[in-house]
Amino acid sequence: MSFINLEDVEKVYRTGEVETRAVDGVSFEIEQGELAIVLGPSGSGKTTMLNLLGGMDAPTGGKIVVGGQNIAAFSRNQLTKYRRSQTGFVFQFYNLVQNLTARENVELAAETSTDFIPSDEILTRVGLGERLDNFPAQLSGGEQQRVAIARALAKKPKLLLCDEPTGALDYTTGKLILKLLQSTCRESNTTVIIVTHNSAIAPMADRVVKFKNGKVSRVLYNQHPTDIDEIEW
Amino acid sequence: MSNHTLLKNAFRDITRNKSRFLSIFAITALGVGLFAGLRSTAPDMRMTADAFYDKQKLADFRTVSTYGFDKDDIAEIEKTFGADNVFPGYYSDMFAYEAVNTFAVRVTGLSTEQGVNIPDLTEGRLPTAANECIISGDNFAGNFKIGDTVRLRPDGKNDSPLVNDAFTVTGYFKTPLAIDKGNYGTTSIGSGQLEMLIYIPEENFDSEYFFEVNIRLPELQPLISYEEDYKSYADEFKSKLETAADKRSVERLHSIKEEAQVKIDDAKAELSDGRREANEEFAKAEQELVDAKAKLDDAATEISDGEQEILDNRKKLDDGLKKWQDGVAELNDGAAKLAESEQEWQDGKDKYDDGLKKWQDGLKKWNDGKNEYDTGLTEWQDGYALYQQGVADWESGYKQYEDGLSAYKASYAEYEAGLGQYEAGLSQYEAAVLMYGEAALAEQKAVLDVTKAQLDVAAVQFAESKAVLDETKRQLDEAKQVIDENGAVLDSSKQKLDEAANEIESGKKELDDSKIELDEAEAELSSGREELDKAAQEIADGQKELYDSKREIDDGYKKLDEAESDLADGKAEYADGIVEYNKGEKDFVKEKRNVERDLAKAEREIAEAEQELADLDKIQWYVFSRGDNPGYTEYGDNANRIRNISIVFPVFFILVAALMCYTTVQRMIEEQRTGVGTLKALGYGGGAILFKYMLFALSSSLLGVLFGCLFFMKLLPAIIIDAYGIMYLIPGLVLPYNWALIGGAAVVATIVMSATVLSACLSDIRERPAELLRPKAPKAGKRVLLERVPLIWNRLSFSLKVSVRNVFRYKQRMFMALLGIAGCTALLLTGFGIKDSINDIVTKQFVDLCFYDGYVAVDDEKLDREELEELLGKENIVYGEVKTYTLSVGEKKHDVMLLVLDNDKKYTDEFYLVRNRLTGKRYDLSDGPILVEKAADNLGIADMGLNPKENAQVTIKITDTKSIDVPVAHISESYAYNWFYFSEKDYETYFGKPPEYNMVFFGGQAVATEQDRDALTEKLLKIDGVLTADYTNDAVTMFADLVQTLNLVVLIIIAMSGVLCYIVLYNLTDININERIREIATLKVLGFYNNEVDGYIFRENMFLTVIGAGCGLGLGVWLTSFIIKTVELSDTMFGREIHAASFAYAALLTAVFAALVAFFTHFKLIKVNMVESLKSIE
Repeated sequence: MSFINLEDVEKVYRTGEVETRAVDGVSFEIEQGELAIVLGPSGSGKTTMLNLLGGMDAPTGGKIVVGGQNIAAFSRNQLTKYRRSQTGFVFQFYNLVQNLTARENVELAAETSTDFIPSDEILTRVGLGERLDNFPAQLSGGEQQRVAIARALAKKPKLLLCDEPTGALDYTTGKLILKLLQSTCRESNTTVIIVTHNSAIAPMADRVVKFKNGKVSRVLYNQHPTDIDEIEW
Repeated sequence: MSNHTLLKNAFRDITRNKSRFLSIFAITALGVGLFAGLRSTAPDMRMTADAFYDKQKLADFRTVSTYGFDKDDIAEIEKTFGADNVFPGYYSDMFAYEAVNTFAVRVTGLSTEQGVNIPDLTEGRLPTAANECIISGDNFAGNFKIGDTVRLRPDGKNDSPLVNDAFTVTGYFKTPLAIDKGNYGTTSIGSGQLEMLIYIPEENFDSEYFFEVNIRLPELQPLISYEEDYKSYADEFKSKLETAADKRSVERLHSIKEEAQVKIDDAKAELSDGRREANEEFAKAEQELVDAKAKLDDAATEISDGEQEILDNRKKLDDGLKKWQDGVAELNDGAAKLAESEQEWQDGKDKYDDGLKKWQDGLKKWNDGKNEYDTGLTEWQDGYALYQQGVADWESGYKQYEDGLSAYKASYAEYEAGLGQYEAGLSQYEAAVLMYGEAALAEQKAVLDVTKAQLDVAAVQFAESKAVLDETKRQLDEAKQVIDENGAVLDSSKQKLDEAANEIESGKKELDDSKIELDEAEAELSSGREELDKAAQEIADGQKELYDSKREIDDGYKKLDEAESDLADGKAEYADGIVEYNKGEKDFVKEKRNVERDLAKAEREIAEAEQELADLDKIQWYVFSRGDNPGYTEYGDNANRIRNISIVFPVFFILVAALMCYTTVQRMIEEQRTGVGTLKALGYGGGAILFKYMLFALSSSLLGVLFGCLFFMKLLPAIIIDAYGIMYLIPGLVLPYNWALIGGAAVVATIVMSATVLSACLSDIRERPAELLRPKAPKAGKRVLLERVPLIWNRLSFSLKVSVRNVFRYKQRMFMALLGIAGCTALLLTGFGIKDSINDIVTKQFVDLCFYDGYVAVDDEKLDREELEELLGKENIVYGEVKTYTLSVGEKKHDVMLLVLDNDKKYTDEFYLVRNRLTGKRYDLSDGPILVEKAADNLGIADMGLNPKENAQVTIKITDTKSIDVPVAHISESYAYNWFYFSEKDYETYFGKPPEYNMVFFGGQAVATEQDRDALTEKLLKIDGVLTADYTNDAVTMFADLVQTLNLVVLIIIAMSGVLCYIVLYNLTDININERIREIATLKVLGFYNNEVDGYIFRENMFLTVIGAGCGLGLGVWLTSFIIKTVELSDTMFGREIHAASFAYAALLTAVFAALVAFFTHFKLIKVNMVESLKSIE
């Protein structure tokens, strides 16, 4: 039984008479500890699907089974609990709390969990041991994203969801971030799902899910994922 | 540039943002409207009053003179002001009385064509007859109804200036002269307070001088009474009047002096005539006295001579009397002896008479006895004869009988033989019958029967005869007996008769002897009698002599008495004469002295009059302007108070409104950031963009200004003037639109909104389009000051640290929130504070300070003190004099009630708490006069500790010409009344006379219920000299009612503040959330529960609310105090304390609204869609 199993998941928006099928009957699986990449052009529904997986939105149809539970049927409270304890989310634009230092941003997340990694430790691990007391405005983009990742990882989530994590970063910094994600996945057996439109990084993943027009067009498997260091684009 | 699409965009913005448009519109309308409405209230009030004044032709000036006004005075005034504008008239301050109550009233003459101070008839009709009147339709008019009669009398010593003194009420009126309800002005009579105004037809005033002159100037009519230009014009005219006054006073003085001088000269002439006459009279009188004295002396001599005569004569008579008395004694002895002898003779006579009588009786008896004997003897003889006859008869009768008997016996023997025959026959018959039967022997039978029958008859006859014989025998026997008896009787009688004969004989002898004795006695008696008679005659003669001499003596005395009586009369006359003379002398002396004194007095008076005349300085005219009318200035002051409030109060609202508008517009611009960027990218300049937002902001705000002004400029003044209508009698409302004000408000609104839009847009406009198109960089976080204090900072929980940082991050928002919350809390506190302040008047005044049950107004001269003290209890009362005076310190004036007490210690101990409001220290009247806080404040003599400033003095105006300066020893707390306390001693010291008590304060009575109070009032009014009774309980009720109306205003303030509070909090929270929506969404993504998200946001709100409320409470204290001081009425001090509870309420309400906001925000937070909020810009 796969860790994540999507069955005919639908997300349909109705505004008046106009029906928008953002996710149109999507089914795929992801095993625990995998690094999965969801590829697709803009508007293909991949972000929407990620949101559904993260419990931030509810599908209009289908089942999303994560760790044996169908989160599609979860109530709001259950979804909050799910988000609290099971998932970590990394956004394209970091979404750090500007008023808090790096350490405090991580602590913010750690507060919601009983089993967490101390903020100093996790920040050091992402290489920000020197920048613990800086505000996001005082950090570079990459540093901010690393703080966001540290925030996500502090909770020891089973599932780490990243929505275009390198979208606002340059090539080098982006690579750094991806490396971090990869090593996290390998070292802590965290399932990592990265949504991107950059197909060049597909080789780093264990599984690649290709999205098109709200549907899964292809699922690819990499027997031997490549280290991100070795990937150039 | 007239760009069609841009314009379309601009208008569509409006339609699409209806709620924003409306909120700006509403807030502007409210803020500006409130400001404009309040701002125009003051002018409206003034205009309303002025309209009334114009309609009723209120005089601009009034002048009264110490001497009244004569024709020349009036002419002078008319010369200065124009005859049409001058209205001379009559008035008098008098007492009106009905069955129970007496009032001080002002009676003014009403002419049929009243050209000034026209009374506004509210009920009934104007007077048509001389004895009708109209009265002020308020307060005490309740006692007089239409149709009742008002009786008037002048103050004490003066004559009534009126022809009539009783008037029938025909109607009620309002007058512009007294617009203050119940306050008709002060007067010098009674308690100093006028209680009613009366108009009566002018002809009732019987005087050659006018008492007042009213002046009304057409130049002043178009001006509004309370405003500066009226005042300055009025002052100009007033000085003209004063010039005329000065001129006239000199002239009038001159003519008065002339008149007076003539009178003085006449008086002097009279005086000298009088003196001359007096001297003549004195000489005459003296002469009379001398003559009288001489006559009296003669009389005295005569009297003493007469006395002597009488004495001599009296002696003579006395001797004579003595002699007579001796004679009388002698005679009496003689008479006594005679009486004795008489008595003896009488005894003898009596004896003789008795004896004679006895003899006569004896003789009579003897004669009777003899007659009886003779009669008896005759009778015996007769009787004896009869007896003998009787015997003879008997014997013959007896012989008959015996004959009869023998006959009978013989017959009877025959009969018996016959009978024997019959019987033998019968036996034969019967034997024969047996043999033969009856029939055969019938004849025989018949014969036998016949024989039987014959025999039977014979038997019967025999029987009868026998009976007769027997009867005869019996009778004979009886008769015999009787005869025998008679015979015996006759014998005894004879014997008796013989005895009697003997007795008669002896008796005769006795009688004869006695007779002889008697005759001897008689002879003795006769001689004795003769002697006695002689003696009696002698005595009688002697008596006669004495009698005659006595009569002479008596006559003598009588004559003497008469003489004495005459002498006494003479003496009395003399004494009277002496008395009269003395009296005459005394009277003369007295009269002389009196006349001398009168003459001296008259001389003195003439001298004084001459002196007065010489001293006669100026006649004083007193000029009053409208400001002197009761309630006039106060009304203006009230209008000013409103103006003051209108400056402070709405500013709050306007600030908040401006703040709201600013944030609304700013937010709108923020939201449309990319739109602006797009426009710029398309090549539109800053002006075009500005235009769009300007249009939105200005159209909504200017519409708000217009609507707010139009609506509130009519509404607010109407409400406020109506509320004041309770206190003032001004009818009608003048509420013009003040276009200048509206225009000004519009201009201000335009400027504010433009500034808002500019400041919101400017930064954006200056940025490069690309920047605009990118999302705005979030504001950088910064360390807060508190972080530098690790002691506290490290102790704070994580969430608190977050909240603290958040609060200080958005400083602008923080300040706005604080300001908004503080402002609202301040307003709430002010609302409650005003309510406390107003309600305290009643509580503090009548519970804390005032302990007496009530007071009665009395007329001290007529008051029956004993009855009053008996009814109420001597230890329960304090006497006082209360009179209203105007105090002044420099230009500042204040009316007070001056209270003098006869027992001030008792008053301050038991009846009224006289203390310093701040320290609570109680005062004694022994330190000097004590003034209440409000008056002291107004006059500027109180320092911060509510003690009088050094050497504080006030001037008391006693009459128009006399004032005194009085120090103030202490300042005391009082709310409802303005007292100026004096002890008896101080009063006498400063006023120079003892107080005339016209008030009695009492306590210790049972007056809890209305029935108790009515019952007590009834008893009180029955006591002589008691005029009215008032109770503290009733005053409480009256004030409580007054307070009620103000509570309404307060409630409105509280409600509006509450709504404002809510709006501010809601708006701020809303903005807060909108700005931090990504943050909030992130939290949700991180898995924060709803309540945790709530807490994250609300902790900040709580923080701001608590601090804001705290500041607001402080601000509210200041605002309350400011408003109270401006709103207070001049004779009432509102409570100066805000109750602790009010602070709690204000804070509580703020908290409640904050909680409400949190409640509604909670739902908003839940609705935050993570996905939408975190949408990346792609």
